[in-house]
Amino acid sequence: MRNLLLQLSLVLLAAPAANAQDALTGEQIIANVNAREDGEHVTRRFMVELTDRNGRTRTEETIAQRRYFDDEKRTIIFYTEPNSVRGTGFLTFDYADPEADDDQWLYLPALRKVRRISASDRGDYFLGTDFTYEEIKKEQKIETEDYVFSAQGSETVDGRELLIVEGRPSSEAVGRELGISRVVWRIDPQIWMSRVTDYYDQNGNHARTIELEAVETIDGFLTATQMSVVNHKTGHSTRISFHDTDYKADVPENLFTQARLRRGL
Amino acid sequence: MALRALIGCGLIWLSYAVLAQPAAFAQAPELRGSLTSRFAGELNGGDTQLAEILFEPELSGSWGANVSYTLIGRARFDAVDELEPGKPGAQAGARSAWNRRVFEGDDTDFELREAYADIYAGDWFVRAGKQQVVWGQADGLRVLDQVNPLSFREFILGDFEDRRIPLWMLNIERPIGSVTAQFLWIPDTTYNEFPQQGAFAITSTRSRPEIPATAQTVTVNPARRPERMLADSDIGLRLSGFSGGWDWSVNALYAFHDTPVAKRQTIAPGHVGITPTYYRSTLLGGSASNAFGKLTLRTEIGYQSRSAVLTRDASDADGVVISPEVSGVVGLDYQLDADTLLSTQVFASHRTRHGPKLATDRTSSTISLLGSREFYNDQLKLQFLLLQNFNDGDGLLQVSAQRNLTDAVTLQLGADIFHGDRNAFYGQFDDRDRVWVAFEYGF
Repeated sequence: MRNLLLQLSLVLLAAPAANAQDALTGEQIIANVNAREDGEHVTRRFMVELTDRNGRTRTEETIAQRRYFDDEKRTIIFYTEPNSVRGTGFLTFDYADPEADDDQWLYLPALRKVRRISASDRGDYFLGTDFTYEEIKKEQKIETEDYVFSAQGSETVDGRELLIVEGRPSSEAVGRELGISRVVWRIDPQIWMSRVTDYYDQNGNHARTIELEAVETIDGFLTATQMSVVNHKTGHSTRISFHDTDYKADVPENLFTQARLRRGL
Repeated sequence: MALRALIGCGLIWLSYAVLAQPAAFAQAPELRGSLTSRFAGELNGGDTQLAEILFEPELSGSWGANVSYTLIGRARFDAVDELEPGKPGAQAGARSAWNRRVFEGDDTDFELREAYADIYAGDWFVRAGKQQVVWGQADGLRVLDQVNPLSFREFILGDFEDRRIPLWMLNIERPIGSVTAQFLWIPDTTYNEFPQQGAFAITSTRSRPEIPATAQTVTVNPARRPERMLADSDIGLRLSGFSGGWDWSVNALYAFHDTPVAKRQTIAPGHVGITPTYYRSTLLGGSASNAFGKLTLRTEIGYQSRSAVLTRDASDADGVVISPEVSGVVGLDYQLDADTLLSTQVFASHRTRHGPKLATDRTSSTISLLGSREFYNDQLKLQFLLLQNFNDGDGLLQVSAQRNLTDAVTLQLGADIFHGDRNAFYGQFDDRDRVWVAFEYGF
C-alpha cells in the first residue's frame, strides 16, 4: 500500500504541466528520483551483452538477489553463463553511511575460496562491463552528497518531455573517485528515472552515455528492465537486460553470507 | 556396528529434515563441462613434457528445493606420458580403495572427481560425498588449507582445484547466531600423491632417509597408509564469522599429515628397512582478513601438534624427529584499480623442538609476489607469480596470459621457470622449466 501511495503521488506530481516541473530545483528532481521505491527485496536474472569496437559480442548471464537490512543493502550475484565464469559469486554489503566503504567478497570456483576484496573505487568498471560499481549499486538512484545539482530546463526526447539536471562533483576527491567532471541526467518525470545520462571525464571529454531502454511495472514497482551504456573512449558497449524479476519471492536473510557464497549456485 | 548405527541415525534425521521442508519441483539434470587441450615443452632440451586432452563433464540437478546433486568426472589422455610414465601402478600407498583412478593403458586415466549431494534442512546444510573443502586465506602457501590432499603429478604447477584430491566426507554447516559452524568427518584415507617416476618425481636428497654406513641391505617397504575407516578418519571443525569489518575463522583438524616420512628400522644387523609412515597430528589455527581502502590484509596461523622431519643422525632410533610446528602467512593485496592487482604474502614456519642434523631448517620462510592486469573489458589477463624461499634461495617464477577468444573458448600461454639448489624444494626441478599452451572449450 505504501508503494502504491508513493507511486500515485509520483504520478500526481508528474501530471501537472511542464511549467510546474520546470520550477523544481535540481535537488528536488534528484530527491524525487531517490524517493522511488524499489522493494525490500528482489530476485532477478540479468543478461549482460558486451560488445567491443569491432562488433564482437559476448554474453554473460547471472542471477542476483538483493535485500535491505534497515538502511544497509546487501546483494549477492552468481554468474551462470558462460561456462568459464559459471559459479563466480559476488557479495556486497552497501552501508547507508556514504563515508563507510562497502564490504565485498568474491567467490572464484577455480580457487574454491571466498576472497575478501577491497571496495573498488566507485568509478571503476563493474566486472568487465561499462557500468561502474556505483551505477550497479545505486540502481537508477543518485548519491546526493556526491554532487552539486543544477536544473537546466527540459528537453524532448522520443516524444517525452525530460527534465535536465546537471551534476558536478561536490569535491575534487569525489570527482577523482568517480572519474568525472560533470554528469547530465535527462529525467522522465513520469517514472523519475533518467532516460539518457551523459558522463564527462575529469578532462571534460564525453566519456559515456547510458540509455534506459525499457521500464516495466513489476509487482507494483517501477523497474528498469533494459539499459545500455556506450563507452565513447573505447567504443565498447554493454547492455543489461533483466528478466524473471520478482519482488514477492522470499529472499532469506541468511542468503547474504560467505557460507552461502562458498556453496555456489 | 557403531558406524552403522551412526549412519542409520544420520539418514533418518536427514530424511525427516528434508521431507519436512516445503516441496518444490525438481530441476532436470544439466550436463556441462569442458574439453581442454594442453601442451608443454621443456626449455632445457626441448622435450615435450605434456600433450594432454582433458574431458571434464559435470552433471548437476536437484530433487525439490532442498536437495541437489553434482557429479564431476575427468578423462585424461596424455600422449607423451612423461609425468607418470607407464602405469603408475597400485595407488594403495596414497589413495583409499574408494578414491582411485582407473588407468587404461599408459596414457589414459579416468577419475570420479566429485560426487556430492547438497541438503538444506532448516538452518542445517549438509554436503555429503566426494568434495573439496578449502580453509584459510592464503593463496598457494598452505597453513590451514589441509583438508584435501594434493596430486604432485605436475609438482605445484597448475590450478589448486585440479591438484586437490577430492575426498569422501560429510560436511555439515549450521549458523549459530552470527557464527557459522562447520563440522567435517572424513573417512577417506587418501593422502598426497607423488609420481614415482617422470618429470616431477621428487629428486631432492633431503626427502631420503639416512642409511647407516653399517647397513649392507636396505629394504624399502610400501607406505604404511592408515586405512581403518573409523579409527583413521579425520575430523575437522571450523567456526567463522564477520565482526567489526573482520572476516575470521577458528579451525581445528585432527588428521594424518598428507605426506609420509620415511621411517627407518633395523630389521637385523646390517639390514635396514625403510617404511614411508603417516603421522597423526592436530592442527589448531585461525584466519583473519579485512579491507582498508585499496588494501586487503589476509592472515592465517596454524599450530601442528606433531610435525615429522628426517634427521641425518644415523644413530637416531628411527631417523625421524617429531616436533610441534607453528606456521603462518601474512598477505597484502593492493587493488591499484579495477583491473590491476598486486599481492604479496610472507609465509614462515618454525618447529619448537629441534635436533642436530635435521634435513630441513628449524625456521623456514617463503615470499610470494603476484601481479595481474586485465585488459579489454577483462578479455585478456596477464599475470606473474614469484615464489621465493629465503632459506635455500630457490624459487619459481610463473608468467601467463589468458585470452577469451569466444564465450566458450579460452586460450592460455605461460612459462614456469624454476631456479636454485638442486636439493631444494623448487630448485630440484631447475631443469624442468617449461612453456605451455592450453585451449579450453566450455559447454
